Amino acid sequence: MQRKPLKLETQRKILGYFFLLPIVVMLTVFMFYPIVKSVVMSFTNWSGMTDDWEWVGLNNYIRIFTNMPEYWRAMKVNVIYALIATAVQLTLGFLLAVLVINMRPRWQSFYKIALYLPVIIPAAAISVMWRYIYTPEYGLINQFLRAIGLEELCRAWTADPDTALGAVIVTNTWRYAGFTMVLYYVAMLDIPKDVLESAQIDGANRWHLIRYFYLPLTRGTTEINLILTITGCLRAFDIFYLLTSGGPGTSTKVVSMWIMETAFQSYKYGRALAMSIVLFVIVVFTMVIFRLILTPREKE
Amino acid sequence: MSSNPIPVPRAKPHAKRHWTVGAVVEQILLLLMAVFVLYPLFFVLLTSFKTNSDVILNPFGISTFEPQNYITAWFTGKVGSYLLNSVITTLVTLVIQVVIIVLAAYAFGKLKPWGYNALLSLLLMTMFVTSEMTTVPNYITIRDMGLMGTRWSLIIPYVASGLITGTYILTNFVRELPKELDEAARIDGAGIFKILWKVDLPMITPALATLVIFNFNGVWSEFYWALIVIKDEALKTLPLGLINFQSQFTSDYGVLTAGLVILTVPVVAVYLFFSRYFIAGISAGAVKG
Repeated sequence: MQRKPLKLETQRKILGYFFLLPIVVMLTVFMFYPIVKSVVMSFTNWSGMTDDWEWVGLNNYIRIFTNMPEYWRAMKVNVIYALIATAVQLTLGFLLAVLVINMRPRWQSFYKIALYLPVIIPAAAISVMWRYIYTPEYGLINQFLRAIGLEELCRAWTADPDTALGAVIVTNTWRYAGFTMVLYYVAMLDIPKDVLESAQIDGANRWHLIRYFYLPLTRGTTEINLILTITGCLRAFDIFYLLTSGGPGTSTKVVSMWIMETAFQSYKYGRALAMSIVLFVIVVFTMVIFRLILTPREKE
Repeated sequence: MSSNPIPVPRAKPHAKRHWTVGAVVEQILLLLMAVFVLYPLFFVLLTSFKTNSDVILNPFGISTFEPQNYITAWFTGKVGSYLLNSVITTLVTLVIQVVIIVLAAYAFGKLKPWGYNALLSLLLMTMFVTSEMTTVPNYITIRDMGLMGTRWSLIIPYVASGLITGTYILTNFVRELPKELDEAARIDGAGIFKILWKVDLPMITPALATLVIFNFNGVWSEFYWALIVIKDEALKTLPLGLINFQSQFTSDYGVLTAGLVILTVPVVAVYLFFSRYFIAGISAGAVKG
């Protein structure tokens, strides 16, 4: 009596391995293998075009740290971008969520759907659209400035070294503020309503509610938002590539763009891999640092 | 009342405040934000129906109606061909992904072969892998497989990139399916595949739908990898095509924005139709993150 179900159980377990075969093969070939290969080949002078390569030891890494000022110039662009874009996006997202959550349900759905809309729009479409908006002659911004008589402010927004990075940040904010907002909004839905109500009865105003309830009770979300946004900014590629192509000059050239050029235009794969790994380590390190900074406060 | 998770009672305490100055100011601030977000989209839509002279003379209004822009974009700008490529690439990717994800989630959630937990943890590590680390080796793998210059150079890596998050989310759903139905079906003599197909699959369809919508968006919009592997004009997907398009129609804003609208409409339509799933998906992702 007992043997039959056991055998069926065994059959099911063996079948389980067959079911797992496709995912294991795919992830091994396209995720695990690339990582191992990246690490190994970053110690070579491989061009990527042929099969000859030689070990160069730590040379690629030494070069990054001693003789590659353009890498660190690009890193500086990434860091400045990360700091400003994250500050703007998180502040705006949080404040929007506080406003939206106090609206009537119908307005809540409207704002949720409307403000999240840019997140789903393809990067290629966003960039073409915003390039058009920033265009000197017929772009939305300059046309608007002319219409209200501020013609002297008109400029080529993405081609002017003073405003190119700012233009990218504005576009990035337009694109992701709704995402940050929705994450905060979802977290705020979990705050018990009677707590907020009794605080209001006790005379708490909106500022008190933000300071003592909304902000501390969404700390986990702040951490997620912070990590997602900062690491996203450090690895940013698409919006820069499509909006400014790193210009004017190299004033908005980010690290990923530099890596791509090294690999696919200069054909120095080995070096590009070392550059990727340094970036990866910096991103992971940033993530760990932020977790360490943010987590102990939660326990207080 | 506090145990009620549905936000129905929320309207009550604030109904009183609805007409105060503060509430009006807040509503205005949010409306301004909505205008900031939506107006550029509207501006692009409007431009796509304008002649070039109208673009210059009449930036904010419209005095001509030029649907011809869409025809030019479709034929001269080859948007029709890009669109077809995008549709094929996306559909094939999603179908393969769904099959692999359903099988994996069923194995992890139900069949539980020995060591499944360790394997799942190992696979989950790939969630933290960044594209900088995989792009170059994957390029070589695809080249060595002889797939360069074919659609598969896009499809196979796309499939791989969406697998683990999907499997993770779906596994949690499969794990919570009631066991009783399975056992009843088994006693009735149904085999594992029949149970999977007839009993369990219908129950995980909503979760699967959410996944498909998310992955649809990712695949439809992807251009970084496509930019690297696709050199053949005939295989270009819409995002890549649109970038080309931009250099071809630099000053022809009507045609350029028409191409833009064609690229964007499918994702916006899917989003508006399934917006509920999107929001649910983000909160699931947030809990995971």
